[in-house]
Amino acid sequence: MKLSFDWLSEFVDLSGLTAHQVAEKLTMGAFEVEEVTLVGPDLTGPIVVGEILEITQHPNADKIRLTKTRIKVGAEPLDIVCGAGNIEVGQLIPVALAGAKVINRHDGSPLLIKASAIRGVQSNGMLCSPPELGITDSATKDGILILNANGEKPELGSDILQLLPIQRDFILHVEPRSNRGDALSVMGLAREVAALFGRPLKPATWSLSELKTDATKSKFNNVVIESAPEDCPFITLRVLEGIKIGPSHPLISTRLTAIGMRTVNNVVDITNYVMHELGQPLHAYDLKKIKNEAALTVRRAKAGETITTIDAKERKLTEEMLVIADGDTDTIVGVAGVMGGKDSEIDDQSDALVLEAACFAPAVVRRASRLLGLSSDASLRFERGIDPASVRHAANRAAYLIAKYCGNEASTASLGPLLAAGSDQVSAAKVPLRSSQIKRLLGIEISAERVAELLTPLGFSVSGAGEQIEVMVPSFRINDVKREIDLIEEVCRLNGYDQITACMPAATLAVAMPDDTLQLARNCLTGQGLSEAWLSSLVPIDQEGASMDLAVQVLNPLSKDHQLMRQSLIPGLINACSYNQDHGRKDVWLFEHGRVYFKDFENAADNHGKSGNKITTGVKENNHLAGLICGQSFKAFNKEALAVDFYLVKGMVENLLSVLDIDERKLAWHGLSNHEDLYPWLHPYRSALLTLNRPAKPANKGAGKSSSLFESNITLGYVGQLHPRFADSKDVRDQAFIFELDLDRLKKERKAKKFTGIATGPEMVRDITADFDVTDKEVLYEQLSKLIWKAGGSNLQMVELVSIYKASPESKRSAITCRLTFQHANEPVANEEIDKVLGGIRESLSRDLAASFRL
Amino acid sequence: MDAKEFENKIDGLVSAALSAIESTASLDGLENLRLQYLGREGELTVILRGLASLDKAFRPTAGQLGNQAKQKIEQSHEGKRKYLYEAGLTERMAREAIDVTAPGARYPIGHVHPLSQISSEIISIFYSMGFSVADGPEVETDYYNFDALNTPASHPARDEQDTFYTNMGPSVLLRSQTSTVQIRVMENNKPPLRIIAPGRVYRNEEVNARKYPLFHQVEGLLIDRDVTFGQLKGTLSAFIQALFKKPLKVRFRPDFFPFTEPSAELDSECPFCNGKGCKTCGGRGWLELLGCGMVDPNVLKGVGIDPEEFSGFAFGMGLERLAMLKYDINDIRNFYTNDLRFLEQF
Ligand SMILES: [Zn+2]
Repeated sequence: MKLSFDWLSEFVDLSGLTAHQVAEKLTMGAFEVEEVTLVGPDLTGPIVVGEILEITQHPNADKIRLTKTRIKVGAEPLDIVCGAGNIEVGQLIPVALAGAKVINRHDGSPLLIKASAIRGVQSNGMLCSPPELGITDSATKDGILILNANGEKPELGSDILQLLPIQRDFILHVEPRSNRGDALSVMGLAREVAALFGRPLKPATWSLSELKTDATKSKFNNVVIESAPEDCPFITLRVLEGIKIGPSHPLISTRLTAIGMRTVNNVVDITNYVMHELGQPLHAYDLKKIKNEAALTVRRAKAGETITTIDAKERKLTEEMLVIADGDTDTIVGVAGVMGGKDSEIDDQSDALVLEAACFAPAVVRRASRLLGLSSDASLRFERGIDPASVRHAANRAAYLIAKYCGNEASTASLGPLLAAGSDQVSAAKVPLRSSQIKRLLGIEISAERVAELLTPLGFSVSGAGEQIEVMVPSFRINDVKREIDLIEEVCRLNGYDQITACMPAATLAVAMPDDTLQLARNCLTGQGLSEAWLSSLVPIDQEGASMDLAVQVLNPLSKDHQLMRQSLIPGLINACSYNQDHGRKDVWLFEHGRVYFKDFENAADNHGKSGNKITTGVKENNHLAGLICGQSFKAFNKEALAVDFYLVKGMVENLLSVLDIDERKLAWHGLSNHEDLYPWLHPYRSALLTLNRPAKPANKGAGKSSSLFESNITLGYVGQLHPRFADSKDVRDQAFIFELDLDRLKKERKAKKFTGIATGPEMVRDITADFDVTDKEVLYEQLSKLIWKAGGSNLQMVELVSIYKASPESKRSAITCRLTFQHANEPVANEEIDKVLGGIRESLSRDLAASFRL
Repeated sequence: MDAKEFENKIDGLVSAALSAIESTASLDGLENLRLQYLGREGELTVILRGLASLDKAFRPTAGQLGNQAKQKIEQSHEGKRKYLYEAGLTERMAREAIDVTAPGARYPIGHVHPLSQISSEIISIFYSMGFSVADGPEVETDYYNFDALNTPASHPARDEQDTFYTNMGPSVLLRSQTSTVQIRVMENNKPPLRIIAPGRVYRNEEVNARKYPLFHQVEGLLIDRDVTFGQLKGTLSAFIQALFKKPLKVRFRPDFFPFTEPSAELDSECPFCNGKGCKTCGGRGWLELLGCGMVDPNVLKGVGIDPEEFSGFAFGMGLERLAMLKYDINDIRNFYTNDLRFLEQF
């Protein structure tokens, strides 16, 4: 809300305070002032009344003259150079002294006055013309402003900014507080300023009874609340006749313009003026346009009813909205608290009106405002709560101003009686406050006397002493001050947060170290050349590879591109890859850690906590770790680049598994050619699934048919080449490889580190080459190595793949060579023993894989 | 052979050997000379082997002469060998000269995302003050996101936060704040508690340089007996100094959050201008860094903690905001575009 400093000073004594000091105090007192802006000319003193005593020609310039000007009787006159033609000895003129800020009359920019030499002659200030003081409507068009032209005698040295009618004001941009509807007005903030500075509020200078008014002639005499009393606790109406619509009084239009309000006409401007002044929204209906001339009714709208609001839009109403209708014909004249109707709007011809001031329920106004997509200064205030006890005062204030400023010249305005329905009685709230609780929560002692000193200026009344304090809450604060803690906050704020000494809680150890899995994975992947990406978890609704049966979707998305909760990190990484390639990067190596989201059929049942609230959402969120590698690896000017292929990327993943202390013997790799339908981004013949080496538990598929690779509880992830079709469709400009792992499952498989000693027996190395007939089916390394390990005995330490040989891709035979290392902890392994083991391995390979061996 | 003859013969042999060693220019030639004189069938070896046939009286002198001769040749050989080895090395190394100013062959190293970096830093600072890391779901129920945080359905804050709702039911939403984790932790653990919860949150806001529909927060909670607002001030002031590695002034300014009371906004002296006012702080000299406050008694009651026995404070901060300030980043979208030209600067 925009707060005028000038307006504020009508309610609280601000003498000696600058707008910035008030802004700072409000900011530190819970009402953040985002900025302070100036309305009117940007002038800073000293600018004072001076008298020209002497004028001489400047020795070095034709058009410039030298003056001797005094700003105090009996004081030494100042040398001031002046270029204007209209100066004469004896004139009283405005003098801007060194340090003053005036306006450059050529371009309106700020002009700082310094004592300086002008063409070799010292000048100690400047004689000012009207535009230099921001005066645009002066009779003096050219030259210096003459202050005694009509025989006036302003005192020498007096402040020009006070003397002349220079319209200046500071606007404080105050951030509204959702729990403090009472402070959305000049009056409300004046209370805060008064309390924060310990200054008194000024009493009101107006009274409705001082106005001479005639009796009204209209038959209008009633207002009825048909709706539930909670919807509208209190409403008042008043008829005003003998009104002449026209422009507003300058005092009102200047202030409204200063806070950025558009002026409409004298009546509407006054309703806005009073709303800003006192926080009470008001509405004026044209009396002649109300069909039933006797009464208005407050009721809920009926389904299907419509109204054309003042902004000329036709609005469909629902039963959730509260409306004002004319009592007889039931024509709706306004949406309560939101906006009035076009058909009853004040226009240039209006000469009688009905002025409404009411208190509508915050929730009802908020709902109507949201449903209609219509937010106004009035709805904003109703949503934050209006004090019923303050409605009459605002209704009187508006009537006073309208009667005073909007009367027909021929006669004074006639004021009808205040018609009211509902109750403006607010039940008094007495809240107890224990001083021990202040000490317990704030850490400082604040006495009962100090509490009274702090709270009284805000309208609270404080009684009691010592431990038991009792506080009566004013009607306009009963919505936000209900409990002891609310009072403690209020006391804390008014006393100043800076009065609380900072200290540390008792030192203690954390219950647990932060889990290091992610940190290790990050180190491992960045160490292998991948940079970390953070990607959006909201993805397009038509995301390829997503299972719609398992989809968690946003119902009110920003756009279709942010509608689905992602099920894989890969599509985002592919987009990031194309983005980088579009921006000139050939080599893109990225990884991401993030969540994926699936409907969880095992946990879909509504689970309720002790409080009866739903605690499960039916969604499972898993932490994934994924990578994308596109383009070359290690590059140097004197070496061949290392080509990236499937095995390099699989090696990265194997390194990662090793860094995370996951036992590779518990894992299994599988070809993926029969899973192509699941992930369109995987090359069917160059992708591998990583699982735990144990049977899967059957998954509960629920209603879902298609699913994700991760559905099986033994799946840990996959590594593969990007499907060429997918790569083409996403403009990925090179072969790319990807991997995605379920980090939560990997975390479960991490084992504790344990030293097993260093074997001292000699290493015995043997190669074994197995030939296979692959006419019907390829033999995979994984099958072979599993059998070797099984038959390898306790001394087998390592199995390395030496080669996979095929004469041509079509060849019906393949040969796989492995190098086996045998070693005992502390003694040599006998050759005979190794031969025996190798025999067993050959036998197993022959039996299970039909291998043959060359002699 | 008499003594004189023997002596002459030895002398002749030694001088021939020394001059041959002197004139040889290669290690191979030198080795041949060693074999020629000192080898198993070398000239001197043969002579020394013949000592036995000499006159018994002359034998000791001859032996001595022979050994002296052997030493001379060996010394000369060793000297020359060292000389030739060093000369050879010098020459070889000169041929091996490379341009050492050419760039090194760097194995590619990846970069950690700035949000991860700042998140890790925040976690370790709070870990040092006894806080553990807690976690919670991003898809949440309105109970955890609002009701349990003292924000009933009628509360205006519900509209202000522009929440995303989901197809999982009318009460299931994407959390708009990590404060949800406070409640889950308090429901499942008994005080004293000290936790921080970093995580992703969602708000339905148009994308611009300052806003993105998802962003990240770190939530903190401390519950114990006799926890005061003073301890809140101390803990967070210490945190800010540790994060910016500067003794920055901080101030606590009253604010309003439904789930804390009293509530505060923490402003720190702008680290870029030390409070003098600059572009980053909009000339104010202060930067708004995080929201905090004493946990509202209603929140404690809701999770079954007696507010008369325990009190506590909570705080929440935006990772993006802190990272933008710490690294001088002016557009939030940089964090999610994943442009390598951005990532590689961290
Ligand atoms: Zn700054």
